[in-house]
Amino acid sequence: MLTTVIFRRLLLSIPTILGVATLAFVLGHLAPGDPAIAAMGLDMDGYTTIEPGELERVRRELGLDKPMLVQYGLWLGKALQGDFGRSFVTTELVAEMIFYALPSTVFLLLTTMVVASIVGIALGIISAVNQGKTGDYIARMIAIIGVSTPTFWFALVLILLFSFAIPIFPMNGSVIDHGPIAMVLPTLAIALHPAALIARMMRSSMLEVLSQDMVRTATAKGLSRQRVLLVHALRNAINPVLTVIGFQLANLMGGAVAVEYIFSIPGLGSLLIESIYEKDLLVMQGAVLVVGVAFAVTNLLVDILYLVVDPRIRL
Amino acid sequence: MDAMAAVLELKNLQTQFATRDGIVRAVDGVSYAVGQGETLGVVGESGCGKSVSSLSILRLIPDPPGKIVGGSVLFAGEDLTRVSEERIRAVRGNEISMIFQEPMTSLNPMMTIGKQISEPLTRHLGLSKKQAADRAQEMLALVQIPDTRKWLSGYPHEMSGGMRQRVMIAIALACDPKVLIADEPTTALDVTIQAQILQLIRELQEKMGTAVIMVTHDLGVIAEVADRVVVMYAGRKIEEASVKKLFARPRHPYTRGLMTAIPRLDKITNGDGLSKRLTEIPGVVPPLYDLPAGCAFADRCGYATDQCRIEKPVFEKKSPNHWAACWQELPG
Ligand SMILES: Nc1ncnc2c1ncn2[C@@H]1O[C@H](COP(=O)(O)OP(=O)(O)OP(=O)(O)O)[C@@H](O)[C@H]1O
Ligand SMILES: [Mg+2]
Repeated sequence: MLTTVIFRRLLLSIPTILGVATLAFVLGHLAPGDPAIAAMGLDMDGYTTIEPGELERVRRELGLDKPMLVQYGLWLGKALQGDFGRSFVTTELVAEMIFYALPSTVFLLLTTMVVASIVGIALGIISAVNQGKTGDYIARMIAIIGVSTPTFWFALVLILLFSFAIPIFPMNGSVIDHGPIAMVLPTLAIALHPAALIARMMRSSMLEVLSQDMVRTATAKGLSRQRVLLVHALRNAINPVLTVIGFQLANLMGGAVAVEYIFSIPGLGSLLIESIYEKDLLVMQGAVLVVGVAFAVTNLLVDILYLVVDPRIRL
Repeated sequence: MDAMAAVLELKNLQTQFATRDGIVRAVDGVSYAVGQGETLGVVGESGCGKSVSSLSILRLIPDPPGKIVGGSVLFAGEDLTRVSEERIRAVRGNEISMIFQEPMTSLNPMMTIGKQISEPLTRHLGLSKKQAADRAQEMLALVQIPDTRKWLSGYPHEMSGGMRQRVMIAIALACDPKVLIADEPTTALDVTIQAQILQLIRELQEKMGTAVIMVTHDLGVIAEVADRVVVMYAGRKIEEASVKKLFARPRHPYTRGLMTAIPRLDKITNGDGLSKRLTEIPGVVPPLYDLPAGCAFADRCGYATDQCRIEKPVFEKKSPNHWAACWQELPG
């Protein structure tokens, strides 16, 4: 039954999340620099000015003197309960910092994905229905440009064009300061790439379905062209596209980190970049863990959605 | 087609495909008519234009590359090749319906059986969802599917090929059409299921008075269900007669060739594991983009003379209710 299948997938995602946690921990420690020095408010150059013994005391205080495995065990045990510790730099609770940063990021990503999906699906359908004609060429050209444009570069171009040259949109992406209009440029910047990928997948999937017998049956019933395309063909062509949308939603986190930073959006991406600059170990680890878990959960949801949507694979 | 008034009439229909090799004359001036309650068989080897001619009736030819370039399809005082898109859509699935060869892929795998049968009912008859669902259930019973309540919400993948073809028939007949076009409806099915489906189509035809165009490559099917037969070769009609007359004395050497081919194995499996249809008549159909000046069958015909190779035979009356396009008078 559907529920048992979903339950099995849930169980399978436990090792994934543990793996993500381990990776977050290791990455945090692999990052260059010494978190203890950062915690003392000093940079590398200030190393020599520390009194002897002071560094060891801070290390002990922060628990950095313990063997790696013990540190890992302690961190993981607490992290799984939602306790990510306190920032070395600001002494705020990491969980709270993430909690405040999360809404901006989730909102940005969801808006982006909705825009990218609508644009991508529409472009893909237009392309497939007009195969070999002008509409197809234009849609495919847009898709090629979209796939090959780096997100951060496109973000900068958008700022130059629409914040400086023609100042329509604010350069700062904070909705709290500027209202919804602030979302436009960051959303466009992140949406371009997934929209292009979705358009490509939609086109090829739609073309395949359009050549199937069942589309001929639908036409032979006397249904309108829209109904044949949007109810019969689209319903059959959408599944691989949903998978792409899911994976893109997960992958977007990468693009979002840079774009959040460029537009000064106080989200998870900005938090992560700042924590790397400041060697704020626990914030870094917490942010990476949350991003990783979000990634795994998104993929899980896509799998489940796939099951619900396709009657043939409900086992 | 003398006595009965025709419900549907094809006149000199020509459908072509633009391909890299040139213009494929898939249907090259075909005429036939079918009367109320009558079953017209259309028979011929693979690739002779049976499907293209029947798809042309409802303008279901993929365009590009296909196009109806000449002739007419007369139905209820209109030429369907010329009516508006909107009008042809109102005819499709309502006044003229079609079922196809491949029941495994002809239904929408994502939509319930009930919904698929309901669609033409809401579209053409303006029934409410509830009314359409009730009628869909009746249709399932009519095509002898057990447990109709359950199957209304079932999906095609849960059904066998025979059951799916029954559903296709239910969809096609839902709006009580005047003409049913069945393009090899049993070719993909087991022999026992084939007989059941043919039987079902015949029963429903009698009950509803539908005219049926039965397209097949199998003269056995023709013998079983058809009243009258049109034999096609290389995009043309080469013989037409009542079933009795055709089987009693075929006038075209090609038809004779088809007859010696039954009973026969329908398919053999060759070395690559690919299924290949067994051709009993030696030789191959000339390419439809490069037809000879004379009779297209001449190269494969034991009776062919110089005249056959130079001049296209005229389609003429050979005896009452029997026409053929052949210069030769075959021995009886
Ligand atoms: N989409 C197409 N593009 C080009 N040529 C086509 C197309 N569809 C059909 N044809 C050509 O039209 C001719 C007639 O095909 P058709 O499908 O009507 O044959 P058929 O008599 O139904 O044969 P079968 O028994 O295999 O179904 C074939 O020679 C085929 O090559
Ligand atoms: Mg065919």
